[in-house]
Amino acid sequence: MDRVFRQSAWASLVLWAGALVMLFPAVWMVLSAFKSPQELLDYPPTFLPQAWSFEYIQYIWTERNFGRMMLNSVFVSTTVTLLTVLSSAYIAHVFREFRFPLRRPLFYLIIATTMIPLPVLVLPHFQIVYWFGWLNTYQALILPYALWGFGVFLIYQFLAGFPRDLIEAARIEGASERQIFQYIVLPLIKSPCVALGIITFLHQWESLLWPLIAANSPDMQLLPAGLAALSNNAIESADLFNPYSAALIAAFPLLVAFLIFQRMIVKGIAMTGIK
Amino acid sequence: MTSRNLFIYGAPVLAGGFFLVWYILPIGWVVGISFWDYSPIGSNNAPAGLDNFREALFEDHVFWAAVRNTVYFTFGNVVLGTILALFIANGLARLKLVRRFAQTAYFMPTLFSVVAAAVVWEEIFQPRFGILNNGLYYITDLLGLPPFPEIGWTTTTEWSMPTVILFGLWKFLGIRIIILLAAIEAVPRDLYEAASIEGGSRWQQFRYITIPMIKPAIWFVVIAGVINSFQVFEPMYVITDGGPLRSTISIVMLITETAFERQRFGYSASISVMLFLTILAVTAVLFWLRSRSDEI
Repeated sequence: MDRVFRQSAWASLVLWAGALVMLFPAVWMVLSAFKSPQELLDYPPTFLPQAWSFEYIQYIWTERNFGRMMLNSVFVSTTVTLLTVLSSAYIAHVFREFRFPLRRPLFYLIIATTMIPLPVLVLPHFQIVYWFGWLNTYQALILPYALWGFGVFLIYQFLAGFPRDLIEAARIEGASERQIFQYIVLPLIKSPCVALGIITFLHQWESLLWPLIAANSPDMQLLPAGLAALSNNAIESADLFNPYSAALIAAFPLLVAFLIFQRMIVKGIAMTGIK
Repeated sequence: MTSRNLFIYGAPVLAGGFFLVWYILPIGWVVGISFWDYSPIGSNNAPAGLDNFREALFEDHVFWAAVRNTVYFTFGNVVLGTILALFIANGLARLKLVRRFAQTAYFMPTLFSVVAAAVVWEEIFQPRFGILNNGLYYITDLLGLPPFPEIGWTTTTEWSMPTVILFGLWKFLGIRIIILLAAIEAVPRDLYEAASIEGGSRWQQFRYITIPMIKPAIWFVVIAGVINSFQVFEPMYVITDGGPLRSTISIVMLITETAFERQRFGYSASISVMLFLTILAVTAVLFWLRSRSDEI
């Protein structure tokens, strides 16, 4: 018994040490975001800021356009998430509920698209957007990601497990197909929809590659692209520029959401198995 | 058309239209221009036959550097990441003391926007002023040990890739743990009780109960990890910008650089096609291995 106890005490200790290592970058970012750029270069390094100052965060927010980028990121991520969830639910429902020509091949085609790596599509997407003259527009950032084969598949799988009695009953009562979808099907598939919404939002919020190419004007940039550009062309001369402050702004919304909705988010990720 | 038909036929039209425009035609277009010298703003667009593929495979050493780096990253990230996640998930499942907090710590990087995290990582690992080197130097100095050397985490060719892999391990550990932990918690408790009555040690329980029971989840983590790692881009783009000396350029980085900095869309497309085919082939092999491991 003693040996088992000692073993598990050691295991717990290692796990706890690991947890601290995992947390360190976030803690360090938050503390450093309030330090002056000069203090970041000090030796010996300081753990807590000598003087907590919002100046550097404010500088990034206003002078480096992060306020505008935050707005863009929130708008694009939210729109993509809503469109993805709604259209996936709608398509999955119709494919399961009705028979129409080409139903099977079309469904397999949707599943097959999930095997195409998204970076491979960046070139042709650029070409399309370029043809339409859509560079630096919201539609360029939103449209290619407004639907997702995996989302259709995920919700279809959930729907496949539900009995259809309710739908039949509503139809006999004279409900229209739109009403059936809206009032019966959508509430039934709330949990996969929430899961799909969470992972779509996460994906979209941190997506870098496509926004980097489709929108590089200061007013259309999204947070990850703006942050990467700022960090890669670090202006050492700007004595108010603190990279941690910039990172904090970009990471803050999701980290806070995580602390509040942890259970729901973890469940969503576990349910879909991807992020 | 009745509103009922509109509702029904709207879905296949929407799905068909969307995937045709944003997936099927694009992938066909990529394959097509991989046989061309092409740039959307260029005027010298001409068919190139297999030249793009030949150049990549036999002449371009940067292409091979990108392949090597991507495979290196994939190996480090998937092998180490899966093993680490397995042990941590197993430990978490048995942790009694304030498990919730430990779990939060391990999951946190998953929600840490990848570019922001990479920027923080770059600063922490910065050789001269970063807290890692400076902190370790300060501690060794304080304890009177031999001073910690100034390791060029992001500035030397031998450390740049390990630094990026370390970032990948940290950032993607949480998602793996979530999946494996969910699988471990679904294993019936009485299996463990029976084992401990029979005198099976912790290790034996882990090896002969947990691992076989969660094998599908492990395969999932491995296969998804390989597919994602082959497309890695953000960590090296932010932390090292592909350097030093191309030591961390990844295939996706090379694809975008070739197209958007050197305006060689055809060449970039040929690399895209090879990446796509490689991912398909590797995934197929992994699925085959998985089905074989089920039979044994």
